[in-house]
Formats: sequence, C-alpha cells, structure tokens
Amino acid sequence: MHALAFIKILRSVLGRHAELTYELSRREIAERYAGSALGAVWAVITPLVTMAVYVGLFAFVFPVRLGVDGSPWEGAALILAGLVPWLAFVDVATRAPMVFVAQRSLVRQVVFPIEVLPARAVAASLVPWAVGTAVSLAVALLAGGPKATMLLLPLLWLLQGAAMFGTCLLVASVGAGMRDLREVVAIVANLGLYAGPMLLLPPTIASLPAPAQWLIALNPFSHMAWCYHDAVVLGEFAHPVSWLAFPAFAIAALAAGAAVFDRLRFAIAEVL
Amino acid sequence: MDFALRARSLYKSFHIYRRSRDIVREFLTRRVLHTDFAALTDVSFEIPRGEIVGILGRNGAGKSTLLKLIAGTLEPSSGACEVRGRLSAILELGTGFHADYSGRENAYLGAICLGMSRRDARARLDSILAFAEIGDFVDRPFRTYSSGMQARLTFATAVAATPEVLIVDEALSVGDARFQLRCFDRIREMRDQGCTILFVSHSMEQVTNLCDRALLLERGRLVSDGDPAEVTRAYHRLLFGASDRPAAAGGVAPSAGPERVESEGWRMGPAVLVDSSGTPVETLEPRGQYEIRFIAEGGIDVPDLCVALHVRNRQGTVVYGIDPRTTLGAGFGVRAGERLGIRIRFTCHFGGSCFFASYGLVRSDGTALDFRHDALELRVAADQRLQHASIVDIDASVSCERVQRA
Repeated sequence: MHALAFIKILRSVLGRHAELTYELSRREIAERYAGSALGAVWAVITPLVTMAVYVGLFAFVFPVRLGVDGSPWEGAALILAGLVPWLAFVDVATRAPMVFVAQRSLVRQVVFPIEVLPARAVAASLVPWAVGTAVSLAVALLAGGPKATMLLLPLLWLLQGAAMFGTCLLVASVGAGMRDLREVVAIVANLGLYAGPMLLLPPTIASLPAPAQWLIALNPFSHMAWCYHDAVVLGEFAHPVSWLAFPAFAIAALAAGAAVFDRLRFAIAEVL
Repeated sequence: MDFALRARSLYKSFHIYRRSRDIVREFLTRRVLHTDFAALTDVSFEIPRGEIVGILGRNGAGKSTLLKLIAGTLEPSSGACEVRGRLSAILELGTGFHADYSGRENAYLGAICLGMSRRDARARLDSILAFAEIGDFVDRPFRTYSSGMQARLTFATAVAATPEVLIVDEALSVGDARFQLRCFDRIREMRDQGCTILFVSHSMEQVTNLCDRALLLERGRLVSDGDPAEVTRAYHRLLFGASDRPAAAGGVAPSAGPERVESEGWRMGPAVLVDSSGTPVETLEPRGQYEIRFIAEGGIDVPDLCVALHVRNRQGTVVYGIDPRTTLGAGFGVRAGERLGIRIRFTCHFGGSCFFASYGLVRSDGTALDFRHDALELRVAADQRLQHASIVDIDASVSCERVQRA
C-alpha cells in the first residue's frame, strides 16, 4: 500500500488542496526575494549570470566541437541542456531538508496538510528553472536550430517535476529528524555535478577509465541530462537507455519519497 | 448512536532518546536505545453531537497529547480515535500563522488551510477580521501582535470554517475578559447548532459555567468523566490535596490544610459550617444566615484576641474581609489553656458559585496565632435573580413609575 502512497499525496496536493498549494507557492516565490531592492528580478538575474558563465566557458574558453563542422555554440548548448535541470534539482534538494523544520508551527498544527510544503518548495524553484530553460533553448537554437525532439520537453519536465517532488518529500521527511542530512545533500550536490554529463562532455567521458564511466552510467542524473541532450541539442535518441532509465528513476523517486513520507508523517510532527 | 467523537483505549507513548544519534543507531542496529514515556493510558470516552466538554488536568497530565490525537497531528500507539465531521482546532497560539504575513493574509491562508475555497475565504475574510477586532493591525505583520490579538485572530479564523468539531487548547486564556466572553458566547452558539467543542482549561469557573461535561486527566489516565461540578471538585482535590471536601459531609474542614499558620501553641479545631438552626450544610442559599463555628485552645496568655476572616473567589480576588480589631471588641483577654467556642455569623450575599474562606485568630496588631488559608469552601446555590458572572449579591430591587411631564 505504501508503494501507492504517491497517488494519495498527489491527489491531496494537486486536488483537494490545490488552492492551498497555489497560494503558498505564489507567496513562497514572492518571498524568496522579498526585502531585496530588485525583488523578483533576482529570480531572473541569478540564473542568467550562472548561465552566462557556463556559456562563456564552454563556447569560448574551452570550445568543444562535437561534429566536424559543429559551431562553437554546440558545446555550450549541450552543457546548458544538461546543467539547467541539474541545477533546478539541486536547488530543490538543498532546500528540502529544511522544508518541515523551517515550518515547525505549520507541521505541528492540526489540520494542515503538510505534503503541501514540499510541493511548494518545488514550485519555488520553477522561476530560476524556467529562466535557465529559456537560455538553454536560446543557445541550442543558436547552435543547431529547432529540433523535432524539443516537443518531448514537456514530458521531460513532468518527469523531472515528479522526481524533484519525490526527492523533496524523502529528504524533507528524513531531514526533519536527522539534521545531518543538510550537509550530506550539500556534498552529494557538489560531487554529483562532476559525476555525470552535466559538466563532462562526450569526449571527456570517453577518455575516462572504465570504472569512472560505469559510475557515470549508474548516476540517475546522468540519464536525466542525456535525455535533455537528446531532446534539446542532438535531435535524435542518441541515448535510448536513458529514455528508459530516467522515467523509471523519476517514478521510483516519486513513489519512494511518498512512501517514506507516508510512513513518517506522524513522526515528523513528533520530532519537531 | 450518534457520536461526534469517540476514543477507544487510547494509548500513546513517546520514545525518549538520550542523544539524537541514538535514533540512527537504533534504526541501523535494531537495538532498543530509547525509553518509553506513556503520555496517555487507556483513555476511552464517547461524546455526542452538540456538547461542550471541558478537559481538566494538571500540567503534564496528557491534555495536549489527547487533543493532538483527536486532531490527528499525533498517531496513537494503540487504540483508536474517531472524529465525525469537519474538525477545526486551536492547539497553540497562532500556529499555522506566518509571523511575517499580515493578519489579513494569515486569516485568508488559515481559512484555506481549514478547507475553505479561495472564494469562500475571501468572502468570509471581513467577518473574521471583524470578530477578531484587531483594528489597524490587520495589515501589519503577525509578529507585531500582542498575544491577545494573536489569540483573537486564531480563534476567529478557526471558527470561521463552521467546524463540526472544535478543539481549543488553552488558547482562550490569553484573550482579555471581554473577548473570552465573546468566545464563550460564540462557542455556545456553535454548540446550539450542533457543533461539538472540546476545550482545555485551568479555570474551574469556565468549566462549570460553560461545559455540559468535563473530563479529568491525571498522569495520562482518565480519572473522572461526567458532570462538570463533580469533575471540578475532583480536580480541586488533585490540586490542593485532601482539602476538596471542606464544607461537604457535615461541613468539617480538614484538620490541617497546606496553608496553615500556627504559633505560640494556639490551636484551632476544624471549622463547621451550619445554618441558623445549627444544622451542618453543604450549600449556601442566597441571603441565608449561616455560621462558621470552631473551637480554639489558648497556647499563651493573649490580652487582645481578634478573629480574622476573609473570603476569596476562584480567581483569588478577596471579595470580603473583616477588620479583625472590630470582631471581639478591644482587649478581649484569654489565658493559656482556656477553650473558646468561636462563631462567625454572616449572611450569604455571594453570587452563585464557589468561594474559599480563610479564617483564624490574630492579635490586634495583626500577628497570627492560628490561621488557615482557603480552608473552608463556600458553595453557593445558583440564584435565578443573578447573572452567572455575579460574585456579590447586593440585593438590588428595581422600581419604575410613570412621571408626568412638567
């Protein structure tokens, strides 16, 4: 029954309590930048600067040409396509341990559906994620023009959203009792960047020793990045395995997060 | 049977870990590293629709745990708790409220939390804010509110969703008297519409006045359940030891209350409350004549013996006190070893409810020979003529005549 807990939780967050999720998310987004003079503009500026750095780095400092006649933008497009979703994921995951802890009073309150809180944390990362995606698409169009596979993007977004929500549920539930999780997540987020095609381009990966290649192939986030590479830049299913692995990972993350949350739901209120 | 709330053999224990890393170690090694603390043991009751139930108990008796189990924020370790109908609860002051949001936003979000749609919440917002009476503060952040304002907004929001079961944990004791009255009026109104209300209170007055029934918890067990007057008496016994039944059962006061001052070998016997015919009584009738009688034995020679008496209500307000020097006249001398029979006659001008008499023997300079605080309970029968909040009966009478215009 726990394996299907995600159905219950999705129905709560997107069904019965949809209005609450909406209101809280709206406020969370406004609040992330509240008090700063430029306000929500930072939601756009910060990811833009990050993207600009990576574009500059991979288009001009270490230009990577994928094909014989590839444009220098191609490497940057590839990096961005994989990096943007990864950064969105990390954004959610690093905030996840504090999701329940920071809202102690809400969690201990009676009738509050606390599953709304992780949903709100995911919603709050939508703005920088959307900005990053826009930049990534722009660079991809510059590098190789539109691709039919771009139509698959909504599917990837949906899967990634599910994976982020599941991860957030999991990390937030466990993190309520184990504050150490914050540091663990930070380390994983730091190392994970280098353990996949988010920063490593195909030529680099090909030059790595076999164990390292295996490690990268086992990293679920590699598959997420490869799916985006295919859809946004390559325009073909260059990584068919990833197209199976990533959806499987996303659904598993959602189911596991929801199951753990459902198990710990009452314990969360107790430890806080 | 149409119940709104039912608890069956509720048991709740908490794991107590000495260090937080023990939680992880226990999980990994499966070795038990915690101790159990039983917060509630075998609590069963059933509450029908449309009842106001007061929960009494000392600090740590398990009241809040019980409310949280009912509300569903905690899960019972065993047993079951069933709630029928939409539930709203005020567990902690301003919980669910965001400190940086304005009162208006908090009330709006709070209403949505309680299951209202955004449209309903927007429509009710004005009436919530009006009931809470927070005036110009509505648009200021919640953290700037006084605790009274927080209580008002919390209550107003919680009742706005027209719950079928309402749970209130002491939150009302923060508001001022006027707001408490309005809350209680609102609670009665809701009860009349079929809502079941459960509230924790330390005020026996509130419980007897407002509740149809009371539960008393002690060390996690339900020790008394029934008529509020009975249960408050049991609670009083818990709080003040055996001094619960001072005036009852023949009107014998406990021989030694906890608050007793005795000096110079003077000794008072237990006090008896009798009516004008000399029969011991339990309850005082309005405007009846009564006597407090006790025997005293002199320890040393005293040239200026006086009798002291004062009466306090439940809130501790002194409602009557006599100047001892006027009691026996100047220079009432007593020798060591003499026995005295002392009678304090009075007319019951108290409003309905319960009072505590302190009495004793003092010298004219006020130093006590033997004195007992709150040792005699005066339970006054309710009087049709008086509002329930009255503490004194000034025996007012009203006349009205038609007067010609000049």
